[in-house]
Amino acid sequence: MTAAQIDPKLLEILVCPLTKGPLKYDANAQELISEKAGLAYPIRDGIPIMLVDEARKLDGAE
Amino acid sequence: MAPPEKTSDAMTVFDRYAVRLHRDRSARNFGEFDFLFRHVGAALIDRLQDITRDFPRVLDLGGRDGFLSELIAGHNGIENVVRCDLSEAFMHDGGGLRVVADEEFVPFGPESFDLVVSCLDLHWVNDLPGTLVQLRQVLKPDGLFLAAMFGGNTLSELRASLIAAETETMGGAGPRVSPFADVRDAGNLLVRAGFALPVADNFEVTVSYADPLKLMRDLRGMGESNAVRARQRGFTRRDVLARAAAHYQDRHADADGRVPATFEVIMLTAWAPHAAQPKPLARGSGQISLADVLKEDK
Repeated sequence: MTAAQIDPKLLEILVCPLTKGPLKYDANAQELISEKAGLAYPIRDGIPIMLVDEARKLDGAE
Repeated sequence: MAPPEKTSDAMTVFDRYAVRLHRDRSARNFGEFDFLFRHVGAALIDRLQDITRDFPRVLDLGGRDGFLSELIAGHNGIENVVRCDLSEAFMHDGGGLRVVADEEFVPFGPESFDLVVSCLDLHWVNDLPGTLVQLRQVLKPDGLFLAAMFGGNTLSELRASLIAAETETMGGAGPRVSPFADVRDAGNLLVRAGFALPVADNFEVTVSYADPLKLMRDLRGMGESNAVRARQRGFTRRDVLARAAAHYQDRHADADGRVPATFEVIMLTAWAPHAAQPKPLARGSGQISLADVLKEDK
């Protein structure tokens, strides 16, 4: 079973909810990365979870 | 276990973690409790149909199981609807473009949508002015914001009954029913958020229940249980609930013993500013005296 992929239409319009900065799509990790916020938002079943509470802190981020 | 609270200031009225939890729980059987949402959703669609414009890209904010996204499909040249909700549990229902998002931290870039719709969602937002500003920014110029939210008279019977019961049994009362916005405040907020041509009006829906406890069960099913931060945690004492139900029955029951519950719905319509929109003329730019006009009429 292959996991559902995020729709490219969403990738065009999504930004970091905290900084409103751009997001980098990591297809392997299924994450949307906000460098500015130092957060990686998970994508589960093709659905981006844009909640700060659910995001992973990036290494090197305080 | 509740997470540690990060913010504590007078602006933070609602416990957003509780809002999310209540929604997650309501997602399981939402279809059994969605009648009010569908009713108000239909009113939103009516408003939309009055507007002869196409809105290809739509954001459905607080879309829950997709009831509004479904209702709206096929109207006004809509091509894509992005449904977002605070609750991930709702995202497994229905298809389409879905995003888990917090209304207080809108995760979309500027000018992403032609239309933002929201049905009975914004009453749980702490910083409504901040959310409205963010929503204006995700709209294209001349994009439409169309929302319904609960207003101040919502659940007035329940509120009064709970306060009476709590005062009697516990010698004081805590907030058990959400504070809701007022229709005048709502209009002002739209202006402050930078929207053009704002309109805020309201209507009431009265739902008849077999008894007050049935109403309380329904509110839970709708995911609309109390999430005020200052509420008492844990369960409401059984004797308080029973007393409140008795008060409710005494004051409001009809001949058959059924009780009404009032829901006030505020409808908001506003546009993202655009140069082509009608604007009032600058003060003092009038060329004809009003007195002359009235004289000529004679």
